[in-house]
Amino acid sequence: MTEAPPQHLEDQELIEKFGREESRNYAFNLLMTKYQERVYWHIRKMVVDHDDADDLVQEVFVKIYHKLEGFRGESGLFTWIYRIATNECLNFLQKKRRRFFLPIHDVEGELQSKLEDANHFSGDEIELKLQKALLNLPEKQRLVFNMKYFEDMKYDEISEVLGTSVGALKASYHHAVKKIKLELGDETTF
Amino acid sequence: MENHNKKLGHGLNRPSEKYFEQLPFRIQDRITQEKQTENSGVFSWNWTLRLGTPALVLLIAGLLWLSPWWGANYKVNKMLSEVPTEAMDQYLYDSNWLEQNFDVVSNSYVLQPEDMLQNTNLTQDEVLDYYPESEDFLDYEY
Repeated sequence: MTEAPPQHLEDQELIEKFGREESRNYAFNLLMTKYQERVYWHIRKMVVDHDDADDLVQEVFVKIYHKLEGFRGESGLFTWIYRIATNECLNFLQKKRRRFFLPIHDVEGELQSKLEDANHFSGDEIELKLQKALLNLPEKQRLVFNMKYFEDMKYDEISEVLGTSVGALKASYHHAVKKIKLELGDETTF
Repeated sequence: MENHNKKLGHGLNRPSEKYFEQLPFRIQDRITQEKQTENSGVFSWNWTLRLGTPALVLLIAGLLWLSPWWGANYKVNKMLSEVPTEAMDQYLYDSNWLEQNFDVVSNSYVLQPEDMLQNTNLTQDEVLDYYPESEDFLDYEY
């Protein structure tokens, strides 16, 4: 029998501690401290705005708190957390569209204008171009690109988060890179 | 445009240094607040159910009771109001209804011994056998 990797063991311990009333808050604090930054950046890259990302991170962890007891461990804890965060992001963007009755490009346009705001963006010119190009991608392609390129996730992990086959993810990433290269118009490697 | 062979960053601004230190506490606060709201919500809902439901039922029953659209009287009155006056007169005439009958039906008339005698086929002697005290008011014409 293969030994579980330490990361998984730690998650298992967190879950067990969370299951006990007396150590629930302690375990949840550990869990938040461990994953908050990754969750925050995963969301922030999708919604651009810090305040929106902050609201969503809180929503995600509140949901995790309520659902963690029902977590069966069929996937890794982090994959499960990522899935919740991803769904929250997609729902947020959909709601935003519905609320303002805006076609897709207008929401993306709003996000692009936020990128030009110094409060949101501090990267160089090519990074700004990359972010703008990303906002022109369909949301799921953008998610795949973010997870693969920025977060160095494996296709298997992304597949668990998005519930999409590895083959489809590879194709999706390939299309995303092609479109971005076309927009950047240089030899940037991905 | 220059070539970028190194990996690009996302370029988004980092939040303040203390943001990630404070975030777990803010989330814990939010969870605690939600729990309190849920508990008070359940409490007030329980009391609302306990007190409000019987009051609501009584109120609805009262309104229905007072409502002119409720009950058999309304239906009867409505049906009668639809009968033409001529048809009503004809019916009363055909069925030999007298004005006195209305009084009897409406309880404004108290039956008198004479009424009872009119509706019976007893002889006066038989009446006297049953009610000797009625001798005082019976009319002896024979």
